[in-house]
Amino acid sequence: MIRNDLPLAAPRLAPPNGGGRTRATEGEGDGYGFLDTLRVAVATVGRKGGDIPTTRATIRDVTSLSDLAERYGTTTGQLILLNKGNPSIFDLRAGDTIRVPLNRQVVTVQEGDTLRSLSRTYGIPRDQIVEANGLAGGRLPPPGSQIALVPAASYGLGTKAAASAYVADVKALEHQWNALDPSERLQKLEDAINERLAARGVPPVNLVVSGSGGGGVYDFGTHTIEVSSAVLSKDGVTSEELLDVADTVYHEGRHAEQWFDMARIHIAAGRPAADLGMPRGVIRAAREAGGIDLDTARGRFANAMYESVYGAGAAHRNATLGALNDGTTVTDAEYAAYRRLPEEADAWRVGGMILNLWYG
Amino acid sequence: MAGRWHDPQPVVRLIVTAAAMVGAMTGWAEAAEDRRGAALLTLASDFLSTGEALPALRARQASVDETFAKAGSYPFRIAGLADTGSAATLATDRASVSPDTLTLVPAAGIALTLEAVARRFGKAARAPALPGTGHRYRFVLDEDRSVVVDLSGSADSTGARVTKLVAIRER
Repeated sequence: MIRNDLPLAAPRLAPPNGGGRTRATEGEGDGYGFLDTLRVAVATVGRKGGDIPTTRATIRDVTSLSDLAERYGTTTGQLILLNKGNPSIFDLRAGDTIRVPLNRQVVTVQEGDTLRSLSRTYGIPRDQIVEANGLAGGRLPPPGSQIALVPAASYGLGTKAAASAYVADVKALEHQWNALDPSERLQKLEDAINERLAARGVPPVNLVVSGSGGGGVYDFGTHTIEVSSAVLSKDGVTSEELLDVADTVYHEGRHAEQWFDMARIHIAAGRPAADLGMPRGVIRAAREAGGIDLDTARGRFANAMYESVYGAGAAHRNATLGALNDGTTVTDAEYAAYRRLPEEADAWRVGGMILNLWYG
Repeated sequence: MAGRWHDPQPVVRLIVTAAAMVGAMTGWAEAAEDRRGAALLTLASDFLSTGEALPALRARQASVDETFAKAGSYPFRIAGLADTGSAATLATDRASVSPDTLTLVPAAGIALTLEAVARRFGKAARAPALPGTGHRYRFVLDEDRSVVVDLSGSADSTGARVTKLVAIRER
């Protein structure tokens, strides 16, 4: 079964061998220890390597390339690709600066995967997968390898501008924290995510708390994001605790954006809106926003998520999530399958931007 | 050996009596579970009818956390009925499109089944799962009111019980 110290409702499920944190799950241990040992200062630079949005990291302690890749939610191959003009990349020393991806998303290549199947499943052009990972000869690495899946173009919460502005808002909240009561803190977080969602026409989500102490779930049926009451109720919040909440809300906010796009696709196709199981206000806004051109890169990417949830992938998705909740121990394979779901891969990638920007 | 049991009647009577007692206790426990499940369904049903959550909760001696009252979130528990994790979420912002909700997490020992919920609310359809809730079903009462339940296992599996019930009421 899922670790009993994890909130059962948490969508950003920690890996079965993880330390109980939902962040930095590509890593090990407490998920934050790397900040002490790695001590990498991050500064955003707004540059792109290939089509990968990047940020800049200054190495303060000697570390390995594979450690760095793990900490930034990427692969050594992508790090090398992003720093191909940097001769010190294979001999990093304290003070060196390297480029790291702004996004955090890798998935594990499985038996039977092909570039074509991944392209279709995730709505990402084949060439983009090749370029983003520097795949020699245009071939996938063997099963068990990790590759980064990044869309050809960023949009909405996936843009650097949106993520940076959100981080700035939450950091401002950090300074006001003790002067606010728990409801006001919740409201500030809600305002921060809703300002970014509003820019895309997504109706405001409602942040709610449960009494379970867990949290971190976007429920499309109510257009709410459930967050943990524990940190919000606490005075003297640490930066790491606030980061955890901020990352959670952004990840779940991305799900809200995804579902809004799914509603637009569904309604534009003439299918019954009632099938979506979403609130009337969201349906109305999706109808007003109109369809998404599925012949564009952006449309194919959004449609891949629609197909995962409401289309041909629905049975697979329900089975994958059912396996996580069948009362038995979550295996590495089951967890990897969850992370490979298109909408989860995207939310982990986008939510991870907050971590990579937080210490900039 | 047979002589030791030449008069089995007292033993038989004892066994029959014990079995009857166990059966009665089991029946009593099942009836109590049914009553608690029914009480949860009544809470949900009343909320869907009236849109009021807090008065009914207080009438059931719910322990309501008002820390987030200004934000419209009221986590609560009702001893023996609804575990921590239950919450009422009510409108505080007119711009919000989120419906009012009453979330009920059945207390340990309440084996509320999908069938029992269906007897109260009608026919359910499978809904897309969420991580953490692999088996989700949705009852649509009318265009303003619905109920979503999460099950511990597939609806086809023996012993699958409701782990969460959300009554949803559009404003």
